[in-house]
Amino acid sequence: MVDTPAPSLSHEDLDRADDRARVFWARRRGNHWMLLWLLIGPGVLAMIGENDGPSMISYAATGATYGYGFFIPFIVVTFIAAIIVQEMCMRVGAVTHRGYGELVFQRYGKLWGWFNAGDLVLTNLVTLVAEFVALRVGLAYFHLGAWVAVVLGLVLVTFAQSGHRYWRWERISLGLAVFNLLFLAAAVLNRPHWGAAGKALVTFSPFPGGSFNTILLLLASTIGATVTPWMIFFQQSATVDKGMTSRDMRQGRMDTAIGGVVAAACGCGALIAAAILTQHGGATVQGLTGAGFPAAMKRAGGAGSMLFALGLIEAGALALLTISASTGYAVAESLGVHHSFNYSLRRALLFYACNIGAALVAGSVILIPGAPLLSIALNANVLATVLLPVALVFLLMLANDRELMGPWVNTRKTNISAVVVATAVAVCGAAYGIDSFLIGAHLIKS
Amino acid sequence: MVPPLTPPTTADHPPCADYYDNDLVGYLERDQLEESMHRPAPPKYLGTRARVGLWLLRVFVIVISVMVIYTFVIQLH
Repeated sequence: MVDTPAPSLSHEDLDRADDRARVFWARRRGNHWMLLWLLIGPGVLAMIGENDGPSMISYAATGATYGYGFFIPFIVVTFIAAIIVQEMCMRVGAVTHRGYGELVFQRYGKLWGWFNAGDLVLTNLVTLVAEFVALRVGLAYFHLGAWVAVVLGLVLVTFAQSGHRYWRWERISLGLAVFNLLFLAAAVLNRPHWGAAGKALVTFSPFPGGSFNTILLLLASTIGATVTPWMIFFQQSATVDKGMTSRDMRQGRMDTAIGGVVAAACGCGALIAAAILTQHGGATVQGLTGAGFPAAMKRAGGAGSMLFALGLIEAGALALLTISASTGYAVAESLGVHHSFNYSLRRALLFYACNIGAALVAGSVILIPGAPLLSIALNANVLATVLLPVALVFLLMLANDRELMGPWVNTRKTNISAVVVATAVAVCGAAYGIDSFLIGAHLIKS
Repeated sequence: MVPPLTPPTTADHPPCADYYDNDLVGYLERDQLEESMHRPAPPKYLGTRARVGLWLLRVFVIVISVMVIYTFVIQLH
């Protein structure tokens, strides 16, 4: 018998093995709750991370303008689409132990890899600006300014990754994610009309009025608020960083589904909380200038205004962590350098630098006097929707790659669902893009 | 708290026989080791139809993105 030479073990191997040991013993003892606790993370963070500042402001704007109606069930539908997409990311990551960015590079070549990474960095930078804006809006309720938002955001990003352990970073992020439930609490405190909300959820009505372009903008930004390129990069890379394997598929799916259900509930909560404003000029509230929605709710007598402001701070802060992480993963994977929260700063300098650098660039934008923050935030979700189809197609190709995935390739049902999602996203994004362009160029009337 | 470690031997987690010298690493799948993770996956050949399809999608996305960015700039004015 020939002895196989022992591999050189890195510090990262030992850290990940330590995490896997806990999983092994929980599974062996049949402790299902402990197993779920250990394996929950990437799915919940991707889903609740996408309940970010611009998304919650977008839901609130819809609620304040139209009240209860079509968009309550539409949020639920978009999260079902998100669960379909994110389950594929988790599965590909757990089976291949490689991030989305590096797999596209290695399987399909540098050109497609750089296209994907470029799309992601562009949308992430724009979205990160919107996250700082959300932080600023939430803090403005407590009479704190833009500088506080920027410093707070940067300190948080730096602190979370300072332990050089994925587990620590994930648990800090999960701790923050719990506060997304503040939007539900705000909805309850604002005393909504539960009957009307329930009826809207079941009947998808009333459908919002207004111009065709406005409806398209709302549809595109709501889709962009739930399924985005950064979620694809993030969940697959985080699944790998966490060390999940094909044995953890059940818990990985539960993680994704729990995240989707909680995020949909909190998203609906933000819409319902802001619906109190429909009778108080809600359509004119500028959510990104001044204190926006929380202040308007306070004026309208909503007891949940403070919770809504705190919720916005949480939404912006959590998304800063997850979106900057997805930027770090994508850039480092594309360049083929170390990319894990388990590495020391010296070994994964570029990964950590991209994490903090992305947040730093975005934070400095909101300090520019007169910067068009409202437009940036509204267009962040739309841009994500427009660029999403390419990322979805590559994800579908990877999830159907039998050489990589073996028995874990997509089922026919998953493929049909994913194609429907990708087509709906492409049509919606294109319809808004074309319609807006034609109106902007005065080729048609608005 | 991690229990005392011994290389896993149950059927649901076969041990990595080569790595018995280090108990902890026995909990990892072979291709989870850093050394393996840095080995690139083999490239996949894309057929002409697939490449044409991807290019069409790429052009479509760039055109729509330009339209959205144009609208954004128009809104600023």
